[in-house]
Amino acid sequence: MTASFERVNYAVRPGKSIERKMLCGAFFRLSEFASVESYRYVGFGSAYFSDFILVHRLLGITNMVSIERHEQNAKRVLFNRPFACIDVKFGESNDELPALDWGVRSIVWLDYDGTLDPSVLADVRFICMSLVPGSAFAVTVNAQPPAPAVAPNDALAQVTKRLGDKMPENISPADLSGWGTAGVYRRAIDNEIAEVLADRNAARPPQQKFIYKQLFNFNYRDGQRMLTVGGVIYESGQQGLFDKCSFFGPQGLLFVRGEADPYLIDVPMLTYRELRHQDAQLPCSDLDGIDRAGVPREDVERYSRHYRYFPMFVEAEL
Amino acid sequence: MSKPRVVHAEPTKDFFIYMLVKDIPLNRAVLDLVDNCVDGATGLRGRRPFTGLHVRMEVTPQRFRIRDNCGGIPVEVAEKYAFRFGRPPGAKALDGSVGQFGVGMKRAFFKLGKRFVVESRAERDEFTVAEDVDKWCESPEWEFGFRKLKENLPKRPQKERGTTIEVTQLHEGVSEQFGLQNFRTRLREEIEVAHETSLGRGLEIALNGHVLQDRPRSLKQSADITPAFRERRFGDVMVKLYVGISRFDPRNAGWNVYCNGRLVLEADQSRGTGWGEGPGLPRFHPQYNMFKGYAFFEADDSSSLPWNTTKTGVDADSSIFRSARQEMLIMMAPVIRFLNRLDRARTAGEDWLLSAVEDAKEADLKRISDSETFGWPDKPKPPPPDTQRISYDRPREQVNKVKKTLGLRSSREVGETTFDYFYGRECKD
Repeated sequence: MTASFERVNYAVRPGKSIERKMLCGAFFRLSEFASVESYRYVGFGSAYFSDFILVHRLLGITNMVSIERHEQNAKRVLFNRPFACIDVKFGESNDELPALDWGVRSIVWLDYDGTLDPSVLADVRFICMSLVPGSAFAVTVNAQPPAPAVAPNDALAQVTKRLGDKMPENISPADLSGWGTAGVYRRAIDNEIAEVLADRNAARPPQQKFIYKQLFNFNYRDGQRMLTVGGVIYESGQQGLFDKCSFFGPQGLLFVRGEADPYLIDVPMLTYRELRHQDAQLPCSDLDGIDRAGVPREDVERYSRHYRYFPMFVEAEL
Repeated sequence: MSKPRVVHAEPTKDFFIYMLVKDIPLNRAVLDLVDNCVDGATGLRGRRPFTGLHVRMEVTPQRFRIRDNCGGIPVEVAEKYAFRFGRPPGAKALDGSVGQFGVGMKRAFFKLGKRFVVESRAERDEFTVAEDVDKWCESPEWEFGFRKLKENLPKRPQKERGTTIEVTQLHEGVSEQFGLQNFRTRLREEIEVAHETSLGRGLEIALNGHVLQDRPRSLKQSADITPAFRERRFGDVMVKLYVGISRFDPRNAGWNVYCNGRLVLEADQSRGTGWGEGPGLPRFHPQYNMFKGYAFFEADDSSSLPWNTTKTGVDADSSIFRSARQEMLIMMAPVIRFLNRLDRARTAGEDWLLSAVEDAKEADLKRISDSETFGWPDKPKPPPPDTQRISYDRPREQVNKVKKTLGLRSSREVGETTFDYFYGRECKD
């Protein structure tokens, strides 16, 4: 199998691009726990390192580890490494994650190309066992529902077989259609986190129980339907610090979701001229007052939610 | 006034004894009696060495005897607690003890035979309790009588205090087992393993005159290879975990779990200690024969420890064990990864890694504390081969036909040539 970066340039996937900036916007608020610069970032940088570039520039993090499974691309990956502070580990995430030192507060983004499977859940389990309080993580998987040509019962059987005993309870074939698959995967990931933390907490005194608070539940499509789940792990004694991060509430972030209900990153198709025209009128509390210049009201509404994170692509000769 | 009518639910003694001994193997019953001696030693010495203390066992087809100089049982303790089934509330627990459930000694008597005698010489008193189990079963009382009792004696020197237990009229199966040399050898090894901590502290344990050996626990350590050590406190339980590699030893690879120094799980290779948990934590396989992990659970109050009543395993549902197990899993994953790597190194003939393992010396656990994560020399792996092997079967007749058509001699050439033919036409850019 070719590495996915040979097929897709991550930088020009608008959904992913918006998601990346939103995640950074949330990570920024972790500063209540400790200065964000002091965190370590662990991700799958591929050869583009788009997330690493953003995290380094925006958050100032210098302790960075990228895990790259395709060792045969080592030369290219290392050539493309944008900053000297990125340590690239070659190997499978199942092997490389446990080999890292987990004594340091971390931000981990496991941005998989593939779908949810036991290997992904093993990584989720491992990081939830290992993260120190005040750490954050996100997991992205492909959540494409079964092709319509596949009989619903067969599709359910396939997913059940793949997830094995990690399959959430009471899933019917209809639950997999559309964004349903993403919902099922979120539950499987959530179950895994809950189980790990139950064991981790079993012998801990009340003030030191680990709490996982979900912040991210993104659905978006760059061709395929994608799901990102994640949040913050902290000790119950740090509830005050978590509250001060104001992920939720009046000062909260509009894309943060603490429950099963996802935040859909849906990107309107607008021309550059339209974008600039909207930008000049945003932010705005009354969208009805905006001059839409012929753009459907629904697209203006969608754009107004995403404009701060919206990618700008131009074709350029560098 | 007439007595209110009730439904009787108290156990018959026969049933009680049957249930009590049903699940305990003979060797474990004997180990329970050794545990009592070790507790006596702990009572006398606390955390200091056990030098000068001994436990002497005699195991023959006619009788079982265990004699120690580990302090004896004070009369008051015997009257109120030692012979009770289960630990009554208010019983003073011994700090760091291995006896916990208050069943071990009595269960061992019933398991072994029909007559037992307990003689104790404690600091200021001495007693003898003797009972015939069949007669005891017939009486409605739940008591054992003192045969001899002397109190308020002058203070006895420490080395003369001790307990002797003798069981005679052994059950037929027990007598038969005790006559087998192999059983006795196995028993000796089991005591050596279960009580290696006490043996290491200087307690002398002898079986039929043969003194048991201390088996030091070690892991390979060098400048290149660093075993992992973690110390964690969960409530009042202190957990010490050591993980790494040791000499190739298929019988003893896996996790060893101790509660207050007593081995309760030996060379475990099951899901309970993380094997087969999932990717990164595969099922045990011979290529992990060098894996060794030690988990020590220590608590003053032994009821906090995660062991089962027969001390043959851990209580997997205990909160302490669930939390500690996660640390164990985290610590073992890098060792497994290393052993996978070592396996590839053997195949690929990477001598530098093999000799790094060879050069690492076994180090006593006491000398291991440097790193929380297992470490090894990480040199770049040799690049994976550029070629990939394909093998398949096709009807012989067809293969021969292709051979002829292409003017080739070997089937291997047929495979290569047909592949190149297809690749040249369909895949070449």
